[in-house]
Amino acid sequence: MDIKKQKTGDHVRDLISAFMDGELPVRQAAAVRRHLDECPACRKEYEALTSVDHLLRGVPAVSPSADFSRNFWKKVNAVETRRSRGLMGLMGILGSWRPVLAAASALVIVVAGSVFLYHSGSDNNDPVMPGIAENMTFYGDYEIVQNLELFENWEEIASLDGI
Amino acid sequence: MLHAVLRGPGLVESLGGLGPDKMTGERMDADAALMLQFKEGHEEAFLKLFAKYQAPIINFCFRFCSERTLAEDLAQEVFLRVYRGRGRYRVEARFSTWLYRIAVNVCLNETRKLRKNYGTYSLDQPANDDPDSRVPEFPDENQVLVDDAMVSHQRDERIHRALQTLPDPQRIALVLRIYDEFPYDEIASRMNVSEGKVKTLIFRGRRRLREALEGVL
Repeated sequence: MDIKKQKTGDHVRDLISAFMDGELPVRQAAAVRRHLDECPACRKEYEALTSVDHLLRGVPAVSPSADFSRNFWKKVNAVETRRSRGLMGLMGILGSWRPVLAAASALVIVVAGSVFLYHSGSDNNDPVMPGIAENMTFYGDYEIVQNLELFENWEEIASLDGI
Repeated sequence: MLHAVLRGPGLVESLGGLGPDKMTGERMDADAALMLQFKEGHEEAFLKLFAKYQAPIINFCFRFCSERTLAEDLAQEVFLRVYRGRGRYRVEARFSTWLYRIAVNVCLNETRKLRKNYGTYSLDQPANDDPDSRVPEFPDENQVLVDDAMVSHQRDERIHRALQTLPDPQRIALVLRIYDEFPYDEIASRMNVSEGKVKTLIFRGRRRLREALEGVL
């Protein structure tokens, strides 16, 4: 409803709530105020809605109970404990797969290293990064290469230092 | 660091070190600064926020559900989400806006779940209908005071009951307006709706309450 219509005597019931809350633009609020002065029906509506607000505001607030804080921290502890148990469980699952993961990691390292060294040694004669076939002594310095035969036994691979 | 930018009563001027938060470089409220401190591991900052907001949040929940114990459970859930969500906290609005947004979500989503833990009761029925277990009434000089208290209690019950007849969004908008006295734009932020929607919700809520409280007005 625009201000012109309100001035010609239309009711302002739809605007009363926002008017009460001070949420109308200044000119519109002034128009509603004028209308309320002149219209008993709208004034009655305004007074009834104002009474509703007074009633609601009259209901006393509650204070936190003595246990509120303690119960909250209990819940925090319960949640944190559950969370850490979940992490421990995940670690346990990963732990049971440890031998397999260790073997897979070792295999990836050896294969990736071999591929890298093969390519870098194939098209230059860099004495520092020689090819695989000619330099098994270079690879032999790595413990995992010394124990390649253990790939057939996961448990033993897992027990190698550093894995 | 953060402590060094604390200025003035209740306001902090952010000078950086807050990451990509939207309010970096603008003025940020002190509660948001406390929440950032909590995010950095300072638990005492959370304790300050908890102490400041526990009563308002309990009352917000209480006015939403009208059950004291349930209201405390809901409020605890709100603070639990704040506690657990500290790592993801970003200053995108006032802290209280963020907190009440969580409270609105908890009230809307958790009430039905948590209400199962409590025996439902009817506000229309007296608490105890068994005539043998009624407390005998002895008029004395304090009877007038007792009567006043009973009338007041019954009126409050009636108002709570009337509030419960409102659809959830109307009730939340009205509670935020009438009890917490937030302006429409802040209510809109807290409820994640438009200001126009808030205006309609409050208008309809008031009219509905007027009908529900006909005999009390």
